[in-house]
Amino acid sequence: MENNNYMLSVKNLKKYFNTPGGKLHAVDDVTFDIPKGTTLGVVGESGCGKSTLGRTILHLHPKTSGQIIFNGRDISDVSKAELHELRKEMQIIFQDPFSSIDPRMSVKQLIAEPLKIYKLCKSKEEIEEKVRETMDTVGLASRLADSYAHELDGGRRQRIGIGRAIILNPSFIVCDEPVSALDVSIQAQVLNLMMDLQEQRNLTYIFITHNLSVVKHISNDIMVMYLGTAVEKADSAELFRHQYHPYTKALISAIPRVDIDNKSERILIKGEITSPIEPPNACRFAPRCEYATERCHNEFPQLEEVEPGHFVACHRVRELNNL
Amino acid sequence: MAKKDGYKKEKLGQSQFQLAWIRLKENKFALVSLYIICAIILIAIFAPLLAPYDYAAQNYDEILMFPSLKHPFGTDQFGRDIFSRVIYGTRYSITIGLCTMIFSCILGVTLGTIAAYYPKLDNPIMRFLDIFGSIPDMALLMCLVVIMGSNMRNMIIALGLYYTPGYARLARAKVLTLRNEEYVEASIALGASDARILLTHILPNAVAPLIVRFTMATGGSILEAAGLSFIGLGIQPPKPEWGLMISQGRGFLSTNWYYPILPGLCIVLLSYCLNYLGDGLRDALDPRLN
Amino acid sequence: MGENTLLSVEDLVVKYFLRTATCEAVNGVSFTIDKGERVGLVGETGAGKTTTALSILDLVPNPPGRIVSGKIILNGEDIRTKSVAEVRKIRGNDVAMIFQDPMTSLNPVMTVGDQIMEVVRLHNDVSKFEAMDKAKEMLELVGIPGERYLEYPHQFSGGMKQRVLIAMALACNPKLLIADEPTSALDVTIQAQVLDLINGLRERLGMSLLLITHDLGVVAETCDRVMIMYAGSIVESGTIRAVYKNIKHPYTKGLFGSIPRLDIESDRLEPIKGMMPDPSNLPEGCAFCERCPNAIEKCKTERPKLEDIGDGHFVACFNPLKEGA
Repeated sequence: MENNNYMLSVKNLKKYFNTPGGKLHAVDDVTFDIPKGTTLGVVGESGCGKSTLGRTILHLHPKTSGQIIFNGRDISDVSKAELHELRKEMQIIFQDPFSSIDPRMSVKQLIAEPLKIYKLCKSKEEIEEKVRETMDTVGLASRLADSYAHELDGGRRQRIGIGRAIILNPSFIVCDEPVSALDVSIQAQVLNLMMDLQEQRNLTYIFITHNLSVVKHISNDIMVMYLGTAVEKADSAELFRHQYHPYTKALISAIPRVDIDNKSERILIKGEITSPIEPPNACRFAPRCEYATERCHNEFPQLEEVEPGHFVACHRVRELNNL
Repeated sequence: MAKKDGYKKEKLGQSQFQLAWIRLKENKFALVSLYIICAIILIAIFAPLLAPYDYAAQNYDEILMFPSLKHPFGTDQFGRDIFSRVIYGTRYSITIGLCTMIFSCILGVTLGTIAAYYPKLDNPIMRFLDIFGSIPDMALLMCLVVIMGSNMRNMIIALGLYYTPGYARLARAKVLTLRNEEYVEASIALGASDARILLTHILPNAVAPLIVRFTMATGGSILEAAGLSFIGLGIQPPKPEWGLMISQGRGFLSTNWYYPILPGLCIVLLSYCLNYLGDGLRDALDPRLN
Repeated sequence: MGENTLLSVEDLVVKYFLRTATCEAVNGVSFTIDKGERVGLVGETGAGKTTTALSILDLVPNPPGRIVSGKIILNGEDIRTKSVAEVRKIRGNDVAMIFQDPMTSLNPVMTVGDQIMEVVRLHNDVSKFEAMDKAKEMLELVGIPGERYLEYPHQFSGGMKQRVLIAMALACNPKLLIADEPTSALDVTIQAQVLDLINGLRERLGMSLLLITHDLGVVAETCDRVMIMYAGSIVESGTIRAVYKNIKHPYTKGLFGSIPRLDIESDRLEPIKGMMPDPSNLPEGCAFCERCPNAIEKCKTERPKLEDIGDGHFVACFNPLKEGA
């Protein structure tokens, strides 16, 4: 049954954290597939569980339940040794280029670290060679090899992070808000770099971000998350053309636009995100949704395909959108 | 913001320790303290060459002489040259201070790191160490020395055990914070082992506060050692330990003030320099304070 | 300066004197803000936006920073000639500021109501009860129920804290509100709420707004006029329409090229090459020269001045972009 075109399939993944107040549902029953060589954008606001999702897939957090199939192989319950080997294949790029890099190491040491962990190179020269190659690939000048991370700006640090992630030639990378901490002009450089790398190496990305313009730019498919659940999932262009979930609509309308001639009407959502601790078994967005009915407060909506390839989790999606 | 970071201008390729050294060099008092400490260490090493007399040589023709050219610090009730004894005394203070600190630092950091890294062992280790912390320090030291017998080795062990909980707590707190750093998570994601993460990412980043504590506590341990010797539980006569010299000279304070005072000043000088250097190191190692 | 001018900054120069270098944070910035006008100040990290704003309140951290020269004329009077006490009266009363990080700008051990009340009493000679009433009124104004007066900051979410800070800033009816990246730390839907609130309140209270941000979209939706700042200088300014529809400075174009657009399908972004020059080592000529595709020989040796190209549109460039470029 496994489709070999998928790099990653996640089925009913759940991740709950224990807190003094009860179980915090960070990721609640999320299912998706990513075809090889494509990018799945995961969008949502802080606290929607998007980062936890990425880390759970990489086994940085143990999952609560669900299935993770990587390259046709079920990796839901792998041993420590298997995981160690697996990490060569799946990497992560972090959001904050300042905290995700050891300030006491030089650029060379940082980029060489994965090689040393896996003892992939026999000689010092080989390591040097590989590091130089990688620095070149990610656009770091070779004169920076001996500088320390604390001496570099955010854009260059993020390039180090990318270099560390790609030096082992992984096939899959979780990008956790990799450009959110960067200035726009640097952000564009890094985005271009990541897209080039994807093309050259046929990488598969999960691109986690809160920035909708960025996600539209880089993703093939987009999944919108709200409070641990996926509320809408579609092809990137399709999603920006038609949004069916009330939350997605508000989210996209809230992006400030530079196009001053085509001002769209902003849909303001009232209130703020509700607590993810022991949420009721109902639509998570219902408390803030202006269309919420009795049913929305009592029944959990499943993702359903309302149009080919376009999935929405909303009880009233058909009646509200005349589908 | 980048422009408030004054160290951007320094040339590339300098590690944080190199930068700390540059900053330390700008702190004149700390630098002078460092020089004095180095000088004292050199004196300790070359004591036989520097001391004009043997520290134990008694000369009953010249007892309790005031400082003069012949005896710069005077002589004691046995006619021994106090200057030579003070010079030899540096050996005891330096040895005790350094050995105590190395012993307690290694033991404390190991225990603290294990406690922080393996939550199951956290409570047993830390609660056991708390026992040490809840006994008055002098009482604890006296008990340990009395049980083990008073000689230099036992005093170092006693002092070392006494300073261990402090290091353990410091190391544990630091490791606990560093464990949650994103770069540690990044290394886990790369597949690094626990040992590698500890040795390459956590401990090197925990070194700064440990260095500061090491420096400051060395001063403290020298004082404690002098205290123990003063009450007769440390170094035994006729060895020229500074605390012991104060103890022996205290009866002569009214008639021969220099006898207890000059060794006392040496203790003050050494521990003051160590404290000042520790302060300087703290500022140099933590650029955020500037 | 015109009758209607509220604030006029003339040739402001601010430097940070650091241990090893002198950072030229703001290099001869001049601009005016009219009464009731909304002005956006856009630039990247280290462009000098925040320093410019802090100068208006004489809040540049000193040392290491110092306003080297320039005039800051508020209501016809130069702030820099005033005493410390007089400036303190201006802060909060005439000019109020809200900061980027709502998490750290509130005192965690005081109730939010008391923090607003404190501001009210600082600038007005009123009794505690009157001040409390005013504080409650301010909370309601920013959309927080007055009953939450007695709650502590940790009981508020990020968006709510920013509302509290806005309430504090507006408690004394300032004539100018400086908002330094007020929504950068917030989620888009909350950002929309807060921007909406700032806009509504500004209209109701008739104050001027100086909005500092790196987001061209936020400016487009909130401001009448925009100033683009790069390496301590304003490189382009004008009405939103003039600047957005007729980009003249290559840097502004680079900024627009760097944002992924929702309205245009594009495969690749066209970012600006390289990085901002080190503010402690600015080139002799135009600071953007090295990254500029349009640079000519003159750019290397001379610094361009902000010049009027008509229609209230100013640009500091020797070789500006042609129409429709």
